[in-house]
Amino acid sequence: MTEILQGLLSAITPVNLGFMLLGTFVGIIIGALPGLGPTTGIALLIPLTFGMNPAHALLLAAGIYQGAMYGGSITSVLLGIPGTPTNTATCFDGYPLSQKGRSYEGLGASLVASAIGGFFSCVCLLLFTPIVSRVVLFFGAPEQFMLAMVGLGIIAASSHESLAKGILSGFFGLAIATIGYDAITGYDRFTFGIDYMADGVEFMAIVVGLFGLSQAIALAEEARTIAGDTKLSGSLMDGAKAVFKNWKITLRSTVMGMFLGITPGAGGSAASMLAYTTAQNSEPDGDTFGEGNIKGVVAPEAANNATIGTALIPTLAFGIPGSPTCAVMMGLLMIHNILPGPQLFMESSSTLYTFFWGLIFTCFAIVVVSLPLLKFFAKVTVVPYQILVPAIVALCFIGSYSIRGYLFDVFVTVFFGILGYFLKKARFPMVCFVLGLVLGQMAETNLSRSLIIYGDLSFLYTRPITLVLTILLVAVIVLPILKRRKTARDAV
Amino acid sequence: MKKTVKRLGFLLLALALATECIGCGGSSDSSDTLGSSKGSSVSASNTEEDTTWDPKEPIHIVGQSEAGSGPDLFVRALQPYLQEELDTAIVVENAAGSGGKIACTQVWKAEPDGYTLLAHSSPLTTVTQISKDGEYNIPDFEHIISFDITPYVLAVKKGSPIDSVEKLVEAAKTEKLSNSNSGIGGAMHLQSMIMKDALGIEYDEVPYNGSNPCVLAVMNGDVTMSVVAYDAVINNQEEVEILAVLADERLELLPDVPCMKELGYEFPFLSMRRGVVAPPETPKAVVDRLIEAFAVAVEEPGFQKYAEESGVSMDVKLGEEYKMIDEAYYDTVMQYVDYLG
Repeated sequence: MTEILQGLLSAITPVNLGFMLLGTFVGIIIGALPGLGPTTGIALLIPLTFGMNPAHALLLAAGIYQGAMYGGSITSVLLGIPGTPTNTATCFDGYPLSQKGRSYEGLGASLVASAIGGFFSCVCLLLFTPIVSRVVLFFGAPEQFMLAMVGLGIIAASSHESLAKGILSGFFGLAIATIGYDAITGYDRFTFGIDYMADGVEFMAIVVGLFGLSQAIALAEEARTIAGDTKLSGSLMDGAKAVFKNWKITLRSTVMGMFLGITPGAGGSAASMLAYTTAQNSEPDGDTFGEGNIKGVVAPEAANNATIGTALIPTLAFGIPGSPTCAVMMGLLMIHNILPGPQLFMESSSTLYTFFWGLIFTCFAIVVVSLPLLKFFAKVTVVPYQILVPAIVALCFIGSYSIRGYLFDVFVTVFFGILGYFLKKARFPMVCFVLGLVLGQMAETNLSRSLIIYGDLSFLYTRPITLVLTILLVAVIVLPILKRRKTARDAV
Repeated sequence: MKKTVKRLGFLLLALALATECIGCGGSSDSSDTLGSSKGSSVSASNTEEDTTWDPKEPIHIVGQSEAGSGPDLFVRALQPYLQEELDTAIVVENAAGSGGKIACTQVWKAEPDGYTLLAHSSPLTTVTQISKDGEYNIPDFEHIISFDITPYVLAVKKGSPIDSVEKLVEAAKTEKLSNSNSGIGGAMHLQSMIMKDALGIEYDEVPYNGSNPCVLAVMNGDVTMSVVAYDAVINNQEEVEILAVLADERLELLPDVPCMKELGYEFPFLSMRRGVVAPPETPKAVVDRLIEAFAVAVEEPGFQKYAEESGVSMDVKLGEEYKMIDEAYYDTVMQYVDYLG
């Protein structure tokens, strides 16, 4: 207990607060640049911290993590380019809001939702790590498989217009997810001998093309500014109010994010996608999702920042990082002599708690730091297309190149940019495509694993958690079909 | 009020810009000279071939793993000392992907002038070379230095009834056991198959994506055990029990855990080694100078401190000695090539 308070006192010294704000600022910029995310941000930071005071280094990293997870939503809302993979779902409704001249609202909502999601998650990290970490031990291959299946089952519900188009999009996403090295068989699948696809097609390169580049093509075609003829209306405050008005969505998404943050195999992208689709399917105005519904910004943004604290729980409790960002974070901690593992919380150091408090305070820091920036950023939606379109195209290309430094990824972006343009014209639901892409590998490899371990499908009903998830899956698929029937009957 | 907010914003902006300048500082001096002609370096190395070599351009060390990963941080920690020793900029690059094939191919084809080096992990790159038909040959690179050694260990869940290798062999006769590996055709899988042969037992192989999920699979009871690199369980010995080290001798960090050799099982051990190699046919003067510089840099107290704190077991092997290790790995992998699927 005393360490927690010592950590708090150390975190609120002016110098340490300065490092937090600095980290947050750098994080927001890194997050907003497509291609650079929290993982790269912290990886770039580590060599600079050799010989630095551990508390300063960790607070910088806390700021970068929190800032980047939020910052990615700025480009998602304004330009329709996801800044980091976890902000993909924010594009669905954030960008349409900007097209209606309501970018201030979208930005305000994503900011406050991120702060709230991050806050609860990091408080959970501070107080409950030793207990909550046990959750990891209940999620074996069968549970991970069924969890992914429930997510994929939502495709049925999320294809509002046409079930066929939804399922087609979903399967297309699944098909792309099969590309690359398959751990189960040991072969590279569908790579056509191209080494750059050996680890799968880069997710960010796909979504930057699918959302960002395709949007730029449409913009050039329509020859308008993003906001069109509409005047910029609303304010950041209106967006912030929407987060509290829809407190149920905010809280539910936060809980989902926290849960999926700990669960092995899931992660930020899955959390924000599932929070988005859950909100879409449970709200009475779910039909208007994708056309600029503020709830579609609140849900994914609360969820993705809510993975921050809880994703660090298995990392710190067991020394097993669940995501690339956590792996890099663990590298940083170890360099500063904080060795993750169960002993960490017994012989706890105040530096560790300074880091935890830092993560909590950075939730407020993102609000403080980004408020002056957003005012300027929002103006981008009234920039003439002659200037904006080339800038967006350049940003997309630089973004997809900087992910891994391979030109191949830029071609991927171009391919999916053109494809996305036509898919959108044909009104294929992108939500279903991204769901398939995000969850495909998780579902497939864990099914194979479960079959090797159990020999048959008995794990579906012999393990309590999988049984619950199986029932949930049936409900997720059947209920929307019944609802559809009912509305069809009512219409007659 | 509004004014102060604005001022605060500018202050922050200035601060951030300042740090970003510091951040770039380390690498900007090196990228400046990136464009300078390659020709000059070749002629320089030709004229000085028989004497000593002094690098006049930045040296690029291409890594096979992502920025921020263990092997990447290791080279980055060494970078300042190496920079001082060679009196030139050292640029650490990442060409991750395809099990190291991309980085190996890139350096294999690079000009053999000492300005492009490969940071690789044996025997992983050798396994990749053979399973993915690489156009390169690891033993043919000019070997400079191997820094450290990480053996594989046999890990089970804490409290498991199988608490020794002896009991494992017994249990395998009657029960259905399983082992988690990081993918069929990978180094972990190969080591497990070799061990299975030597112990004369049978168990299922369950592939995961990476070594961390393999440890998790032991903890949540998906599998009975995992033959996994020691560094993946280093922080986790409250949940996982290590039955044996796959090596000729005990690990200094694990004095109470027996090694396979003392248990009477001798088979090829595929302990991981990180190191740096140069493209084949790099002039001898260049290789010698690099060996000398690396050997001095790893002894720097600052670097030694880093290595100790991040749990690395240093085991420096230079030039020919390192090459022989990689050759032995190559022979082992070829011998068990059928296991790679």
